[in-house]
Amino acid sequence: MAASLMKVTGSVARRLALSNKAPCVAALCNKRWKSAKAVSYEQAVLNMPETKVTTLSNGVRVATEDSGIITSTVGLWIDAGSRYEDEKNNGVAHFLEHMAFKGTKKRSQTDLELEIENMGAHLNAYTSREQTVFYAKCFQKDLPKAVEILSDITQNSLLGDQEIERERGVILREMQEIETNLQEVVFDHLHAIAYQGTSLGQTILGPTENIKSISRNDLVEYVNSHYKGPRIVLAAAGGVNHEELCELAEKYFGKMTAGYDGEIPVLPQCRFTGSELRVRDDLMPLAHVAIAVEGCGWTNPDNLALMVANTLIGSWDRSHGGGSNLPSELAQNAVKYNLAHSFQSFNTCYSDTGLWGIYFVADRMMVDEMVFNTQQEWMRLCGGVRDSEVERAKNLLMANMLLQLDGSTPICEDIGRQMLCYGRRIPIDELEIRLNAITADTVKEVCMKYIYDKCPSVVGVGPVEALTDYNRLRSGMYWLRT
Amino acid sequence: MGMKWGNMATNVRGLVMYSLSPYEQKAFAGAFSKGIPNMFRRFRGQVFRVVPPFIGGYLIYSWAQEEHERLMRKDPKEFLNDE
Repeated sequence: MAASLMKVTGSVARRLALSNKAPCVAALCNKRWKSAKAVSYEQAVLNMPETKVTTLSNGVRVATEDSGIITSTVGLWIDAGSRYEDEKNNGVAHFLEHMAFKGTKKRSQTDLELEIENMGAHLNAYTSREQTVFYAKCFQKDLPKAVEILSDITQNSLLGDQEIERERGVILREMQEIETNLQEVVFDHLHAIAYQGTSLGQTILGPTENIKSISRNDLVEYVNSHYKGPRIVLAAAGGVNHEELCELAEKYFGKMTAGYDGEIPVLPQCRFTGSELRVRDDLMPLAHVAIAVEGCGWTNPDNLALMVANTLIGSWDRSHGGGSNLPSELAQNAVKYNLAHSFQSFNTCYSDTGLWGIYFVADRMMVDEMVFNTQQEWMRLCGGVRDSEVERAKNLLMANMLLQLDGSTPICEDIGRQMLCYGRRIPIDELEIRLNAITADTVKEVCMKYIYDKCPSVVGVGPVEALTDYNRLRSGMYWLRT
Repeated sequence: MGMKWGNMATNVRGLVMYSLSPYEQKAFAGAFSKGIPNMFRRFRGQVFRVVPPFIGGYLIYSWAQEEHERLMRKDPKEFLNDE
């Protein structure tokens, strides 16, 4: 490839030298060279390396995408998060994530840190409501070592009593930090009321009492009931050989058990409840509000159309340029009438349910106006939007989804998440076909199903005196006109 | 005048309000199974507070009515010696 490129540029240069009297000819040649060599979008999509998946005998799935670069990301995606906890052990999954780095039977915390540092690798982990993830970024040649470390920290973690005591303070501090991020606070409240009385309503960190009281037993119990072969995906991207990783996985994760001796934990039912929570604090400068209706789960075919609807509302911030020439009509109105400081449409998915809505930050006098305008826009979605808008949103959505895959870590994350959510990795061309099948009518239909005349969950934090009364807000979810 | 939703009270802090969508509620939940027995309970609890004053009030009223009637009439005894 590089050689042919040199050859072509060489010939262009030569022609340039020949025809220095007619630079336009050279420009023409140059253009032809570009169009002949640049890969078309379709070719590029087809050239994406495939995702290879192998299932080990104990149910652990190994999924890789080999792009042949010299670094790679490898990680464990575990189908276990705070959704599988109850009010007594809420916070255990997140506590475990912390304890993983505190030493194993083989290596102490210092050894672990040194080993990672000496490789120049990164080791990280996060817990969400449905997934626990441990991943490492390293050079391709260090992949075996990284896999070994990942298996060690997840299977042989020491969970020493002293370390547990020390970690309580760390997690409580992390909690304080999260409480300063108002968006996180609002979304935690939103989950708490939208999924009230169910395990999705719990926070990931758990309440303070639990953080103070979680014992080694709780942690061991959680590992034993959730870290099971079929619920684990070992995903890797970047430079990675599938066969090699399968061998490593067999070696390090082969001893993981697949079955259950006792009761098999089932995915807890999480019902959505339309409700409202206002946490009034007039001393705060701005009101932070989230409004959401129940969306759908990852595997639901309506999800893609809801994502298009979500893109149609879009997100906006005062610092964005564009003035009133923005694609999203809500953004135009926000500029025109000074409705808000920022807004962001969201579509949070879980395995069987989801939250579809908007989060905005507005001045205390403008909250009601902003809610009204948002609902006008939602009703416009339900009544049918223009084809041109939907086309634009589809392009934007596709671009956003592809732009995310710009490195081994995001790709690995995509593989791991999709393997857990869908049981497979959705190829880009399939995604594109499905996205192209969506028309303005589909969006209308799906919005009517999920948004129109549905009870939203509303959270307001800050000076929210002007936040629309729930009954009025509920009656803004439909239009009495044809 | 300058009062609008948003600046009517500007020093409220720490107030947490929660409400459930009316569609999530059963407006007549337990009206028969709980409501009717509750009616009896409330009746029993208040009956001795409410009924005695009413009885007393009625006695006074009926006495007053009778007394008034009586006073409105001429006493026949006063006219016994009339020619």
